[in-house]
Amino acid sequence: MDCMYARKGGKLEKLLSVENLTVKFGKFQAVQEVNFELHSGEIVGLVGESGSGKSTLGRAVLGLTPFQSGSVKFLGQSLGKLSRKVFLKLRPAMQMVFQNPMGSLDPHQSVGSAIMEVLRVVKHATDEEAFSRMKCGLEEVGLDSGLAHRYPHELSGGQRQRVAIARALAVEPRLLIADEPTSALDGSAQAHILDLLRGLVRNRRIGLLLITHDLSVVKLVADRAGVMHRGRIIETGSVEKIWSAPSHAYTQRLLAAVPQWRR
Amino acid sequence: MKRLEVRGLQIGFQTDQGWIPAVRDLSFDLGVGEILGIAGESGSGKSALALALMGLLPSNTQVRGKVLFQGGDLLQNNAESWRKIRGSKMAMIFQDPMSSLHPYLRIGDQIIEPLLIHGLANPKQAREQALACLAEMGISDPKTMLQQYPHECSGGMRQRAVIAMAVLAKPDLLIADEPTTALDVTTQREVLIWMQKWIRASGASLVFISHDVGVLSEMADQLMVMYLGQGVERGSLVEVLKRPHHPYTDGLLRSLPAMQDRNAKHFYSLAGHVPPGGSIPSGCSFHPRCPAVQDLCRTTEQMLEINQERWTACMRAKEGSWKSS
Repeated sequence: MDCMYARKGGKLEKLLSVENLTVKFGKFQAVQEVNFELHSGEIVGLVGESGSGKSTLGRAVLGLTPFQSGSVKFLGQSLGKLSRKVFLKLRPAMQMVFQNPMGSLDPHQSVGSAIMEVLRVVKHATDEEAFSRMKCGLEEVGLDSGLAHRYPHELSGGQRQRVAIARALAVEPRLLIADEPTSALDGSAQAHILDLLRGLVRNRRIGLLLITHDLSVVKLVADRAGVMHRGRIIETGSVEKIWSAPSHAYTQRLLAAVPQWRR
Repeated sequence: MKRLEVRGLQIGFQTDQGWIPAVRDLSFDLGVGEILGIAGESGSGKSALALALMGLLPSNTQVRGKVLFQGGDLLQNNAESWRKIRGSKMAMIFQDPMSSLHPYLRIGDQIIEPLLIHGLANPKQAREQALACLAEMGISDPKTMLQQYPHECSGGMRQRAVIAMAVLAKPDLLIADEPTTALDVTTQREVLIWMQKWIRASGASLVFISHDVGVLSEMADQLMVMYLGQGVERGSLVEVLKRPHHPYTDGLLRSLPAMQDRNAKHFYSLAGHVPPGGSIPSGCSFHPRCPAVQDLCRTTEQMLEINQERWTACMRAKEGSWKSS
């Protein structure tokens, strides 16, 4: 089976459009009137400190946390207004990668079987199709397909995160939301995952919303970035612009706090 | 002047699969008033080292070698002698303050406990010292904080409480294992600046363990890099960062997001990964991942000492440079 998924040269398509999104927990406004857009083949970084609302925003976009007002449009359809049936049909096209792959993988299931399961359930693949697509999937994220029979605890942190990404990709999503995907990883494994995510965005033309507290990660891979503070996006722009001329006082403070060193 | 001398330290854990070496033949010195940063990926043995220095390793551990501190070998300590110096002469700060704070006790009672146990202050004096210390660290209402329970405080406040608990007794040796890793960057910066100021003012020595080279570069005077339980390189911070002698150090630095080239086709990262517990490669243990490996590296390991404070475990460092190959 052909392992290539390249969708190069496709035209830039608006995948996601978030307007005036507000999420409340009781009286607390975790996300306040947030607006942003995300296109195919684009990496948008969302940075902020803990409690800034960046994870809640990511979850609200995917429908994992209900929102009180505003709208989330995915491929032109307003997610809050869809019937459950239509929503569930659209939902596989949006996938999430979490910080801790141990929390998203079943310790009793081999990683190959975890990937084949989604292929069978979501893509209605036969056992044979699921098997060959699972192997392709592992290879696409840089893993030896011989690892398929391993269990999560037998893999390194970086390998586990690759499995989580392979499983998210198995259903051919258009949008990937990654919440601190490299925060639990060391230097070298971190670079591997960032390289992989960037490559996927280029080759598959998916859109990536990268949520992290790590400014250097966003600076390295994102095309555009939004800075969140107390539930609001207080500054947006290209990565070059935000880093060279941050306009908001909080962004300036945040950038100044990052340990600086040069070789 | 030396504060701590570690000689030939070996740490092994007993597991179902037999002995797993966590630290292998590690020797280094720590000067008075010096901040030694220890960098390494997970599995490098840096946390096992910290626990060994504090005598906190579990009983299924075998520790050999010497750890000389204030005229004695810490590894010869019995429970009673550990109790005497822990919390008074030496103290430790862990990554997760929730695991070092008791959830049922008020913050204040916990911060002053070391002072009371070691008879260094009466309760009233101890509270005053705690108040002053928290205020100095930028806690806006330290009085209220002393009355609070850990869950009522933010992560940054809790970590400051743990640091206050460690420093109030004015220890000579402070060991911090990822002390700011769980904090936001702005909070992290405040805590680091305060810790550095405290070390400079008190003359205490600090072993600062972190996987984050950026943080170490702001804190440390000296840097030691660990890989698979060994120190692979040691030197002044500037020397090690500017002119790494070991290919592992070089690779680790180049893999950092801040050091990568945004426009590169692929980001730089070290090949392979840290081998799983117990399986130590022959010769130089980094050779399977080393971009500059030679035949001799597969069978032989060698420590190259430039001077007592600058050494590397790469035998090729003396050929001028392995980088030119």
